[in-house]
Amino acid sequence: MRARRLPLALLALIFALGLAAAEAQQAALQVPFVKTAIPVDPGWTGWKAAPAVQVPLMPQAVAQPWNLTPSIKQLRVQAVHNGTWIAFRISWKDATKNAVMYTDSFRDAVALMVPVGKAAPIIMGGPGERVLILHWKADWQEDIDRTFQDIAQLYPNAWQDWYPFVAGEPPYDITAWTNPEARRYLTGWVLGNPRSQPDKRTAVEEQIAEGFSTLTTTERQSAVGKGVYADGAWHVVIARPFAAGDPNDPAWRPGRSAPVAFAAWDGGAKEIGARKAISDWITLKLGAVGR
Amino acid sequence: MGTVKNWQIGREMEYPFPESRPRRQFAAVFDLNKCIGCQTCTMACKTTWTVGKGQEYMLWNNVETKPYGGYPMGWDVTRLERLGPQTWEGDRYTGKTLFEAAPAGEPMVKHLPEELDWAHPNAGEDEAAGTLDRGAYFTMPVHGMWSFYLPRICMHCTYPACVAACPRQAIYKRPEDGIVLVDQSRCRGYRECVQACPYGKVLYNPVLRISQKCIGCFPAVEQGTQPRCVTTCIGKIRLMGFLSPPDQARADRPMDFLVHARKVALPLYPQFGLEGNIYYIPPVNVPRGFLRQMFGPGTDGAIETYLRGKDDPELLGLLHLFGDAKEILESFRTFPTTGEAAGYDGKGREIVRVPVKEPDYLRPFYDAARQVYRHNIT
Ligand code: SF4
Ligand code: SF4
Repeated sequence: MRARRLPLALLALIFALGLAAAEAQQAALQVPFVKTAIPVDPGWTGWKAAPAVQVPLMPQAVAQPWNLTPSIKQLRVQAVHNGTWIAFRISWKDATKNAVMYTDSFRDAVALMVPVGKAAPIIMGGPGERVLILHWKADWQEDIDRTFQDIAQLYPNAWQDWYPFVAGEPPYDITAWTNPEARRYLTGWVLGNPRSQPDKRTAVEEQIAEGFSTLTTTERQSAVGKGVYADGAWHVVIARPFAAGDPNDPAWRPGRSAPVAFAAWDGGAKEIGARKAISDWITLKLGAVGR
Repeated sequence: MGTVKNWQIGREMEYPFPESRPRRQFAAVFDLNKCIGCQTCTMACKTTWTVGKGQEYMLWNNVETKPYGGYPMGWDVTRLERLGPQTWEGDRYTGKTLFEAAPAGEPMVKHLPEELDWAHPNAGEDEAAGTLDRGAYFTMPVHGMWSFYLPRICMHCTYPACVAACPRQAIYKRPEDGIVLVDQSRCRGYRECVQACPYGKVLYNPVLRISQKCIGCFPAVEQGTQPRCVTTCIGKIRLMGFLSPPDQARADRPMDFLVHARKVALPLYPQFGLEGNIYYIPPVNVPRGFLRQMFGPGTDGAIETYLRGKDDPELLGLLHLFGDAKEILESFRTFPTTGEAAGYDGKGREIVRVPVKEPDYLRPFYDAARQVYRHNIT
């Protein structure tokens, strides 16, 4: 029981510090209306005019494993909307691009979280208080920008003579594993685990949660995104329609305010899953639809 | 955090979930005195389960040579070093388990093997503990120089570190047989389990980007068949069955007999606190200090019981049933008058019957009919 009390005490402390920091640095984020389509591109010129806030990040120390010394200290966040779509541009400094995962390495990532209802606990929601989480991952971006990270990409010098039930020639590209007997060995792919799919559509995974350990990929994937690494920093766009005809659509709409929170992972510091840096809720002030 | 009873360390301990023992517990006994390091088990497992993409390096079953081998490299010594010297008082472990030694914010002591740690499954193979001094020769029963093969699979632990570590609760222990599985659709490749399992038995698939592990050949076990690594074992060192908790042990059940009644088969690193369910008959020719660290305070008793086996018809009979049947033996009996041992399925039907002692044939040195001398008299 002793082990249980400590995180709560620490949690209170972290939240106190985190909130103080947030008040000092954060105004609400103004989300202007734009008339055009919004390209899924962090290099879009429209971003130049969009207001930005610095979102401070704090350690995740509620669910085990904690991350008391997170690598990423703050995010620069912008957002715009065009009445139908809302798009975020998130930037942060990261000395190393980590986009490929071996058995002992991890990838960079960033996520934003919005309550599905009016509000939700910051700890990934709670029972009956669902949140929508849009999670961009550098390894998925790599799959899309280059090619799926198969054995030939991960280990260019590896050689495998044969895989049972697989026709063709080495290196037996995973997309050629059409025989159902062979596909049984590709568990994650066959079972529809989004991580294991060789044909990724976008680098963002849309998910819901009602508290820690409940993160679930949604049936319908409506978010899109793209990340670019340049000059020691990541610049990531995450976009989604306000309403996608999905029961998990948040209550955000033009002309209103809505809460949003962020999380970020530095793969180079072996951050993944609960080992992350998190923000407090910040307020989106969504501009009204103009002409 | 719950308090659970771990009989292998003779006390209660802290574990993130309350005690919840399965209806039956998958278990196996490996007799280390008989393993010949042939790796048939490794290949049987490999060709059955890990011939997919991203599994090229994976061995759910591996056989390493102790003292130097390890897959992944140093899986054992990294944990022993992190724990530091710990103590037993008789059968009660008074040191810290990996759960109890957890740093703040972690459920247990963890270690992430490096990529290259998986690349040397045969490092140290057949290497003895040291070099022979001039003129030294084997002295029995403990060899001056020694090594032994340690075949390993997932222990399907009663208190699995992998289950405790997964922040998504994507790993579960089946109530029907205690087999521990990673849900391949729920896993997100965080590798908390890879860091948590002190036995190095969860492995990351870098192509599918999720973690995978020994599945205890559950499709076979569901059909009443022992796993592939057991049925293919050339040395007949393995027997798989179901193990009861000590207070429900029945001496006619093979696992209960070896683990609880005769206490000849011991847990591997019981001090880690996972109550693993692969049990080992320790090798008799290895220095006791090394063995006690590995197998706990039961080591001396187990070796004595094993060495007295020739005078223990039940133990001898059961040891002869190792590797003799594909089916899971739910119970066994020995027949001293006929010198046989038999194994039975859950309905009490006889599955296998073997002679415990082969009959003796005495033949003359010179065979006049064939006009040959016999060099071998068996
Ligand atoms: S041996 Fe490792 S992988 Fe197997 S159940 Fe125990 S902790 Fe989990
Ligand atoms: S098949 Fe049996 S004898 Fe051969 S290495 Fe495996 S456990 Fe040892």
